[in-house]
Formats: sequence, C-alpha cells, structure tokens
Amino acid sequence: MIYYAILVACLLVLPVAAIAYEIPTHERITETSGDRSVAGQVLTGSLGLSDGLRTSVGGQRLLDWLTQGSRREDDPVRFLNHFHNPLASDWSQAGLLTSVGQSSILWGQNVSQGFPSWSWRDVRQLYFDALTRPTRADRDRGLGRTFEGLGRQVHLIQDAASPAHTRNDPHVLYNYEWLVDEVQRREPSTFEGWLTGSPDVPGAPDSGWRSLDSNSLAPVATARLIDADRYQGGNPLVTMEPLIGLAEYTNANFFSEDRIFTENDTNVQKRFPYPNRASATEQDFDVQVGTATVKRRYFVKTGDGATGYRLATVGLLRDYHQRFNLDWTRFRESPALDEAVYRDYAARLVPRAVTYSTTLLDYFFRGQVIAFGNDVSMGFQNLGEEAMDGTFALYYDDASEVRRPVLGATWARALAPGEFVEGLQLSAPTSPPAQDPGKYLLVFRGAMGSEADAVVGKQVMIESVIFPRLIKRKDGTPFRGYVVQAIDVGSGQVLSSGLTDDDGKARLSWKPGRTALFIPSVNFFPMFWAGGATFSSGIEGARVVQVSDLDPQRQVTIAIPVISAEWPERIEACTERPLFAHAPNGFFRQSVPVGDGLFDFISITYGVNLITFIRGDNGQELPLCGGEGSTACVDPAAGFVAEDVNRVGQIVGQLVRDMRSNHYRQLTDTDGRPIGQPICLNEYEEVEVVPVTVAERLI
Amino acid sequence: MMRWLRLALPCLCLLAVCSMALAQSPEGWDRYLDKYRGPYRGEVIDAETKAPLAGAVFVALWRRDRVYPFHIVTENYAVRETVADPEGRFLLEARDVEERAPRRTHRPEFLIFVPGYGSFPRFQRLPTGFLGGVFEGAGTTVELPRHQGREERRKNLDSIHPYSISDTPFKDIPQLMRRVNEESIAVGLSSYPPPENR
Repeated sequence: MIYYAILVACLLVLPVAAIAYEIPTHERITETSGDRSVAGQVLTGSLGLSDGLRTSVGGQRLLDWLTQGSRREDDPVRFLNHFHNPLASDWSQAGLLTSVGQSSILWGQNVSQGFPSWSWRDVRQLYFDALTRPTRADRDRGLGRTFEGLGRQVHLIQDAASPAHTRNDPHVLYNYEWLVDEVQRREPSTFEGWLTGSPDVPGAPDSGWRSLDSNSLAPVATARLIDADRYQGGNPLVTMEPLIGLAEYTNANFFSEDRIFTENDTNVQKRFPYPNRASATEQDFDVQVGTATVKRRYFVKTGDGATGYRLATVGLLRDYHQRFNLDWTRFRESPALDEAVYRDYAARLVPRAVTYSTTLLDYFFRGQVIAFGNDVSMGFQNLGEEAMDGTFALYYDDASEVRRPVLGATWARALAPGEFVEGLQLSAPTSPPAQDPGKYLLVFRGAMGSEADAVVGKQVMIESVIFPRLIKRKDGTPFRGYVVQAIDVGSGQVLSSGLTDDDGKARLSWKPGRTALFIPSVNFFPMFWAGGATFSSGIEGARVVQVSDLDPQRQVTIAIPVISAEWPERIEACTERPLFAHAPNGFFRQSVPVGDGLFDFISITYGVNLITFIRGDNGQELPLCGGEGSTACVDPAAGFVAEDVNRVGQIVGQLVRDMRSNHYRQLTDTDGRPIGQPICLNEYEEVEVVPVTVAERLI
Repeated sequence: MMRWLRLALPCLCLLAVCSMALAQSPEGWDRYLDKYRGPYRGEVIDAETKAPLAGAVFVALWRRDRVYPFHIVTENYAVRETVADPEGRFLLEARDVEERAPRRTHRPEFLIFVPGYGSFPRFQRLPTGFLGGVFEGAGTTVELPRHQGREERRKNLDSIHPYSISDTPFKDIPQLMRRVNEESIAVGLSSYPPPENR
C-alpha cells in the first residue's frame, strides 16, 4: 500500500513546480526592509555597534547575512514549506496542496526543521547567544546567524505576497515572480518604485496584529502577519483593513496562474471565492506588442477588496461565452495573467512585502529597556509597549573580551510597560575586572507581550560609586567643602568630582581598579592619594583604588596631614625680635609701658632684596618675596610637593634670605619723645641661609 | 526486490516524462540564454565631467534555474569580471561561459563598481529604463554619478553583496573585492576579510 502512496505522491509532485519571488527579488526586498527597520538603530543604540547593519561579523556585514538568509531559505527542499492558504480549515492543512509541505506559518515556528533549524525560536536563541556567549567568536557567529535567521523569516513573509503561495498553486514557468524578477534586473527604476510606494492605503499592518489571539499551532504573533484569521472567504472587504494578514490580502485580491476565477471549481484545493467575476469589470487598455500598440481587454478589479488594477486578461473565447451563454465550468474562456497584470500586481504586492518584512524585523527588535543608578542603588525600566516577565541579567566583558555574567546581578521581574525597579545592589566585577568598568549588557529573556521567549539586549552604563572621606590626621576632624576627584589612571581624565560634606565625605563615580583619588586643595599643593596617609604629586605614584580599600559602606577614609614650613629664626640681642623675619619690606613698632610716663619703644625696619626657597631634592628655586612686582612674601610651603607630606619633621630645602634690618630701641615719654640715648641702634645686612622643615599643623 | 522495482520503474518513467515536458515548456521573455550573447562591452564615464573612469570593475553574473519538484531554484552558475581601460572601456568575452551554459541559464546580470561612484545598475545616471541587453553588440556608455557624502557612499556599498555573487568572491571576482574593500575602508567600514582570515 505504501508503495502506491509514494507513487501517487510522485504523480502529484513531479509534473508541477512553483517559484516564489526569485532569489534576487527576495534579496532586494529584504535589503530594503532591513534598511527601513529599527534593526540598525537597535544595533547602534542598544548594542553599541556603531556601524549598525554594516557591522562586520564572520567575514560579512549583517546586511549581507540578512540577505543571505532570504536567499538560502529557498534551498531544497525548504521551499515546499513556503505556502499558506489562509482559507484552509486549519493551519495544519494550509500548506502546499494541503500536506505536501507545511504551512509557511508553521514552518517559520517549527523548531524541528532540521539541522540547523531556523524557526523563530531558534533565531531568538541565536540572538541570546550573540548577547551572552563567552567568546567574541561565538557571539559574532550568533549575531551573524541571527540575521541569517531573520532573513529566512522575512522570506516567508515575502512569499505571502506572492499569489501562487497563498492560493495553493504550484505553478511553474511564465508567472508573476518571473516578471518581478525581470523588472528587478532590467528596469531597476521601476522596481525601486515598487519597493518604495504602495497605491494601497495603508499598506502596512495595524499594530493590533500583535495582540490577536494566538494559534496554538504557531503561537508566536508573527503568524498574524501572514494570517490574521480575519478573512474567512466571504468577507473580502476586510482585506483592505490594516489589520489583516498578508496572505489573506493576497489570496482575496489576486490571481495566480492556475487559480483564475476558480470560485466555483469543483476541486476544493483550487476553489477560492475571491476575486470572482463579480469583483471585476471589463475594460480595454492599450498595450505594447513589439513596436505596435494594440487594444487588449482586461478584467479590472472594481470591488470586493482592493480595486483599480488589472486582474486578468479577458480570454479569447469571452465573446462566445456571452453570445451563447456557455457554461463557464465546461468551456473555459481561459483568462490569463499577462505582463501588464503582473505589473499591476507587483505595484501592490511588492511594497506590502517590504512593509510586512520590515514589521517582522521591528517586532524582533521591539523590546526596550534601560538601566539607571549606580552600583549602590541601580534599577531598570521597561520602555517598550509590552509587559516583560522574565529574567534580567547583567553581563560584562573582561580585558580579553570574554563576556561574563555579573555575579548576583540576575533578577526575575515582571514589568508592565513603563514600569521600573530600583534599589538593586550590584557588586562591580573585579575578578577578572571589566575591560570598561561601568559598562554592562543588560539582557532580558522571557515573556514579552504574547511572545513567550523574547530576548532583549541593551548596553548600559551603571556607574560605580565610592565615598572618599577626608579627615585631618592630627585630630581626625573632617575636611568640609574640599574638592575630591576620581581620575582614570589610564587616560588621566576626570571621572567625577565632588565636594566633601560636613562629615568629610564626597560621592564619586569610579572605575574599580582604574581610579586614583586627587585632592587638589587641602594643602598648598595638589596631591594624589598614595595609600594610607601618604601622597604623591603625580598620578604614577597614586594608589589605584581597589574594592579592598573600601569599607562596607563603600567608604575610603583618608587621613591627611596638613603641613607647613618651619625654619629657625635668629633673635636680635637688643630688640629681642627676629633679626630677619620672613616678611616683605616693612616695619615693626612696639611701645611697652615700663614705668610712670615711661615707655620701652622698639622700631624695626626690614628690607628685602630676595627671599628664595630652594628644594633640597631637585634644587628647584621658588622666589618668595623681593622679586619683581612682589608685594608680599609667600609661605615657603608653597614650594612643597605632595611627597613632602610624607616627610613631616624632615628638612626639605632651605631659605636663602638676602635682607637688611634696622633695630632701634629707645625709652620715650608718653608723647613718644626720646628720653636719653637709644638703648641700641643696630643695622644688619647679610645673606642668610636657613633650613626649612616640614611641620604638621592644625588648621 | 520486485516490489521496489514496481515502484521505481514508474517513478523513473515519470521523471523522464516530466523532464521532457519541462524542456518543452515555453521560456518567456528571453529570460534564458538562447545563444552566445557576448561579448559584453561598454564605456564607463563620470556623469558630470564625462571623463572616463579607468579601473571600473565590470562584473557579469550568470544564474541558472534548477528545477525541483514544486519549485525552481535559481542559483549562480558563473561569474566573470574585467576592468575598464584608461579610456573607461571594457570588454568581456565570456564565450566559454555562455557556450557551455546548461539549459535555463539566465542572460547575465551586470554590476559596475568604481570607488566613490554610484554603481550600476542602481545608481547610474545613464542608461535608464529598460536595461536588458544594453551591453550586447555595440554596448553602451554608462554614466556614474560621483558620490560625495560618506553616507551616500555607504549606501552604495549596501547594495553590493559579494557573497551573493559568488561563494568564493576573493577567487572569482578579486578586482571587485579589492575595490569594494578600498571603498569600505575609505568610508570607515570594515573590509571583507579574505577567507583565511574569516
């Protein structure tokens, strides 16, 4: 028995063959829809692939992978599964000649297509691989194959805009698809026009297709792009509504080569109620035959759905039919589809193939999430139009581009559109550290809208924060209102900057393992924290802050010695005042009562040629006063560097003072008149060199 | 054994009859190569200055239809390329390709690519309209517009899919690959890596 069944199958199979849109046509439609879809924006904006669809992976651009998929979907024997009859009683019966192949809808969601399988779910898995696989090569492979898979998925959509594929018509040779291909190759400007515009309004599906009831045979909503189950065979007007499957529109409004006016066909496989003879009126058109213009009569679609185009030629026997009232079913007048008909068809079907393909790609990339906050308190939000219920997880890349999940950063959440979660804790990865600290990939996997296993990826920045606390080493009191900065040790750029609060704490974002702390103004000089209570003047000597430096509150406490300069003074014997004070040109006056109407008056004048601080380590000289234009002396500590903080009590240089002073002491009366001879009147002029020591002080 | 024979013989007969039927099917629109149509020739010039575009790559791609039950699959049959001379002229013989072409080999499709210019057949200024057979006989002059903007040049590259033309483009169309890669780098895109680096 089985042998006869196979024989019958051969009989069915061999004499007929059909072609979908030709491969180059599929490629062009796919390329156009890829270009119009959000895919490029998602790649750029969500995944950080700045070249979008032009990104190269696996030796080709993603746009190449997409078109390659649409090309390869026609490989033997996959094409047997590219038909869908929207009027079949059941989608399991909607394939080519009912059961020769699967319905294209079922095929597109069949996870058992073979190896490899390119069902929607498989493509979702490939996309998940592209986002999460550890090695760059595997991720690239996943991304390339994701786009190949999407190319295959849109191929199925495009076939639903080919009448033969929706009318159970395995026709071969001269047909609609050939014409489209010929035009694509030889009249590219005409074809370009088909790609870019549709005479039908709106031409694109209403977004309500996403929320139509799912069919258990093919539960992913994309099935509704092909068949929304709204056209039942008796209601062709519905096919002009925007909420309609592409196969329904095509089936109800166009003929295929062997399914012309078959509304009364006795073979149920061939019987399609629309278009029918009542859907059209006859009209003459001028057509070009070679160099001659001749009249040809056509059926023009005037009702029952889409209108205003040539539906078929009127057969040569038409007049006889009318004159003798012949039975249509017995004496076929053989209307046919000619080039003009095909061109009218293509002008309506090709743009729909583009828009529906674009819609499918947009659907694949529809998910939108963002993350916000920092690792102390972060959150994420569903920015899409559909609820998300699944797992959100963070991944990061280490220095070797190995992608790793962030430990503890996986959350199962259900988020309505616009809803967010916050207050989540995150431990910035340190073992191994991130290649680009703070940069993560947020990956969602789970239910989104009616899709059970959606995948969304979004590159996010989640800053990590620390709280440097600055206190005085001497007494532990906080430094309030001082600037602290986090500096990237790699680039030297300021990552963040903050002011210390009343407790001496500042809040800074940082990159673990790549950040130094810069304290510009607590001392006279800028300094980098070098660990403990030590400091450096250059970033190369700075401590690279590690997570281990932080306490549980992410605080790093830095005790800072505030330093000043000290140097010995010589006391003038008579006035008992400094012989050469560190002072600009000036004077000192003091009058102290020593008896009734008697005062001890001291007057000292200082004259500065030059006072210079010379560092001991490198001989660097800093004029402190007496230089050109100077009006006041500068503290020698101005010549200190951050390393001097580590040298409290040590001599770090010397003061060279080239000065004069005049010391005068005299007893006076209450009116300042001298009484007797001056006690002393001494003049000094010399160059004095004194050591300068680092001292810690309170401020 | 006999039972299999009873099945196999009718099937073989059907196949033979089917092949004959298909062979006799009308092949419309001069879609297929009926004879040697070459050589293919033409001239490539700058659409504005009318200066010849030396080094333009002219690629001819022949596809063929392979008939399967219920389906015809179009696959690449052969590809050839040539480069325009200093006067912008090119000539592609391809006699070997066309005279040995199997049945249902399509008449060739053409691509002309010059870095920095819109390519044929998408972006040329001339010829327009029906392009069938334009490179046959005396050939034609192709005017390519200079693309100034980076995005425009990237768009032009979007229309070229080397692996759609050949599974081994670096071997079959090396001149095209060289120029596509030059253009890719010039507009800030990654070049197509040769197979050993993929």
